[in-house]
Amino acid sequence: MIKIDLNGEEITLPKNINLYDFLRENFSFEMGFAVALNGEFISKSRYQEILVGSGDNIEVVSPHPGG
Amino acid sequence: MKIYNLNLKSNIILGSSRYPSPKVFRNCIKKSGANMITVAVRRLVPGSEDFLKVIRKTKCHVLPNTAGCYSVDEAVTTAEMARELFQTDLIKLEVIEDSKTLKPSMKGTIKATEILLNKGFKVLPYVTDNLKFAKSMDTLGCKVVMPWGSHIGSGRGLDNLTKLKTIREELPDTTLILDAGIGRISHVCQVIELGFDGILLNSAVVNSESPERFAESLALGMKAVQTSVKAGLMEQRNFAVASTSNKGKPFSK
Repeated sequence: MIKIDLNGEEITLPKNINLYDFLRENFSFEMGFAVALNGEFISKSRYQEILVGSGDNIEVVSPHPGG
Repeated sequence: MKIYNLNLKSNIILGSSRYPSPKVFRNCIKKSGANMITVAVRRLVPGSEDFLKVIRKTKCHVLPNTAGCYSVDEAVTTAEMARELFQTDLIKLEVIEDSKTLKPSMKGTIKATEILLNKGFKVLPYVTDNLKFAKSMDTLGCKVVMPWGSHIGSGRGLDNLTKLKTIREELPDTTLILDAGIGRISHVCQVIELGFDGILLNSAVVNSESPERFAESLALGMKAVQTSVKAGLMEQRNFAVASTSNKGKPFSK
């Protein structure tokens, strides 16, 4: 079991997982989101090559009203 | 109004926050004539996709911001996420140094601007009315600079007309957009009379009793002040100059 931080909340995963698979399991790709891993922006084209591991911090953001 | 390679038909940019409903937001865009709106990025929650639909329906140009960022790293990563989300290189850069005044950090904004320009962004930095701050943005290569009038959301208008006027004089070729503090139409008139290119506002609209009516007044006020400026304003004088001629005045010698 590994623990990661997703949008400020700690969650537990059974094992290390590919970022693409992690996102697919937790979000709908149709929703429109962008991702940062440990403070670094990860473009869509890199989701497949990134492995999510223990202690990682993932931010998944979407459009929001702003001034 | 020129925003890098974009020529906007309106010089009003509207924030998209705190409208009572998407319908009111759309009506405000229509009534004000704005064709660029600012948006933010926040953690994804259920329902987030609804706002994306609202944005697309407006058919406006989108200007993402880095609101709430207090560090260079946060601002840069937020800008990169916004670029992918909204498919635009434009970024309204905010690097804040103080939570009470939401004053932009000069040091942080300069650093983040350097990084973002190198990454191909078209940066619209939020700055104070400090000339050195504004000029440093221009020197780095920003084609648009956005000084504050007063604190974000204060509605206080322009705290220091002289400083803003000096920025205009010193940066004659830069698109200047007043980014914060507008509360009423008279402030809009002051901004345009100073020679600024445009305004960005949100709170003045949504905090009025009727946002749609206020948006309508924005379009009217903007048209009026632009027309008067084009007419060529008279020079101000320190003393009276009689408008009625003394020629033929009775009882004179």
